[in-house]
Amino acid sequence: MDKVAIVGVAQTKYEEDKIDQPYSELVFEVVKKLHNNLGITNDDIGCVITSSNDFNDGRTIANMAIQDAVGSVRKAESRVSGDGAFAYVYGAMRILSEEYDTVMVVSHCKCSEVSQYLVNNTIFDPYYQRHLGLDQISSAGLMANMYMNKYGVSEEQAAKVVVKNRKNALNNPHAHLQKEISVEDVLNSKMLAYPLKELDFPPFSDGAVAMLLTSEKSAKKFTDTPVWLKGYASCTDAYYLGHRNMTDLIGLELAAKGAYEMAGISDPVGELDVAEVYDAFSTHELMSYEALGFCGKGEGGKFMDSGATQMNGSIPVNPSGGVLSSNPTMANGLIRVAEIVLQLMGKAGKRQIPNAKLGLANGMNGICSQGNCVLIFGGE
Amino acid sequence: MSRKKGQEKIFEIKWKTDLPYRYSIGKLAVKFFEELKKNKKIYGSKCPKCGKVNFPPRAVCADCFVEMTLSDMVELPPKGTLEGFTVVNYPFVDPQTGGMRPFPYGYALLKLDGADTYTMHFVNETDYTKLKVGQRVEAVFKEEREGNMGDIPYFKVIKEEE
Repeated sequence: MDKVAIVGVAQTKYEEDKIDQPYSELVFEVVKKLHNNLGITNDDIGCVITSSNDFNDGRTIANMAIQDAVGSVRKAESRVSGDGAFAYVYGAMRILSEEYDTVMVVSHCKCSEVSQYLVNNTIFDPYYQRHLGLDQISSAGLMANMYMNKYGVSEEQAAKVVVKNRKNALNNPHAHLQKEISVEDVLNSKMLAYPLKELDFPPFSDGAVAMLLTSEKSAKKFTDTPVWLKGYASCTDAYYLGHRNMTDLIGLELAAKGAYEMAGISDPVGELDVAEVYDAFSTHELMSYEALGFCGKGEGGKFMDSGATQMNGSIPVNPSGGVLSSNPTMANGLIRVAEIVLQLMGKAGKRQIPNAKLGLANGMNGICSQGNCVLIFGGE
Repeated sequence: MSRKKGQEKIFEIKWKTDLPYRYSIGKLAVKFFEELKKNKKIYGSKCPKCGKVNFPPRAVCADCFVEMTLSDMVELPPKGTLEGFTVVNYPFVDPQTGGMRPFPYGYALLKLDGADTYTMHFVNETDYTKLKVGQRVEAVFKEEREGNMGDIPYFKVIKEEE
C-alpha cells in the first residue's frame, strides 16, 4: 500500500521553557523550516491538519491561535484535539480521499505555560475521581506497581530504559535532556510515586513538529526518499483506570495487531528495523515492548536486559531519546512519526540505524495508554 | 511580549478566570451519592446481562453495551482488597481548594468485595514498605457527609482474622 507519502519533516529544539516564543511562533518556526527544507511555499500546501490540546493552549478552538502560523487562513484546516500521531492519521485520510495532493500536519505543545498536573487532572471525571488529585504521575505509579508486582519486573530493569533513552538523546540535536545518566542515578533519584522515581519520568518540554504528506503521484516531486504508510490501526482502552487490567497495555496490543496485519508483518522483531514508542515513563516502555509483540507478556524487563532495544540491538527502540528525553506532550506521537521518517530516509544523523527500511511509531492519548495508534512505515 | 528568564524583568500580564460548571451526573450517580450521604452505603451497578458489578456505578456495560438502570444498583460492603498502590511524594495543587495539598499521601487501586472493577482512592498509609498487594482495606466515612466522594476521606488498611 504505497498511497500516502511523507516527504519531509521539521522539528524545533525541545526545551524546558521557550519563554521568548508564543506557541504560534513555535509553530511558525517549524512550518518555515519545512517550507525551506522542501523549497515550497504556502501555495503548495493543499490542506492543514493540526494537533494540540485546548487546556494546554488555554483557549477553546485553540487551532485558531496558530492559524496564521500554519498558513490556513481561507484554506481547508482541521484539528485533532489529542496526540499528534492521530493528526497524522487524519492527514493521511485526506490524501487517501484523493481530494488533496498535499497535506501539512503540525503539532505543538508548550508545557511551560500551565501546570501539567492540573491539566492532566482534568482528564479524570469531575465527581468520582478528579478530587483525588489523580494525574499522569500518580496513575503511572499505580500502573507500575501493579505491573512490576505481577511480573516481577525490577526497578533496575526500568531504570535501564531511562539510561538507554537518555544516552540516545545525546545523538539527537532536538532532544531536551542531553545528559548521560546511570542506573544508580535513576534508582537514587527522588521517589515521586512509588515505585517510580523522578528520573523514571520525562521532563516537560516546549516544542513543535511539522511534516508534509503527499499522494503517491506527487511524492517524487518533493524528495527522492519518500516514506510510505504501510500499516495503521488504533484502539481505545476503557477510560476509567479501574476498568482496565493495568498490568498489560491491551489497547496498544490490539492496535499493534491491526497495524501488523495491514503491513503484512508476522515477526515484528525480525522484520522491523527500528521503533519509536511513546515512553510516558520507564516501565511504560517495558510494557510497550510486550504490547507491540517484541517479547512475551511479563518479559519486558528481560527483553531490556537482553540489549535488543539498544542502538545495536535487534530492534532499536527510541534512537531519538524518546519521550523520556523530550516531552512536549501533545506533539509526542507526531515526533515519533517524524523520527521514523528520518530513519527511513537515512537522514537521522548520529542516531541513524544503518539501512533502516521498515519502522514503527506509536501515539497515545490520555493516561496510561488509553488511546493508542500504531503506524508502520516503509522507506525506499 | 517576554524576555529571557534571568536577564531583565519578565513582562507579564496576569489574570484569573473562573469557569464554574453545573454537571448533570445521571440517575445512578445521584443514587450513589444520596445513599453515601444519608445511609453510609456504597452502591455499584450490575449489568443485567453479564452480571459484572461496576464500582463506581457505570451506566452502560462496556462488554455487553447494555444500559444499567436504578434497579440494577447493588449495595456493596465497605471492605475490599488492595490490588495496587502508590505513595505520592510531590507537591500537588488540590483541585478542590486551589491550595497545596500536603504530601506524601497514599493512593490505592482497590476492589470492593463483590465488585468486578477497580476503584482508586486514598489509603491511610504513606510508607510504601508497609503496603502490599492483597491487603484488606475498609472505607472510612465522615460523620458530617455532604454527598460527594469526600464523604469517604480514605480507605484504611485493616487486619482480618482468617
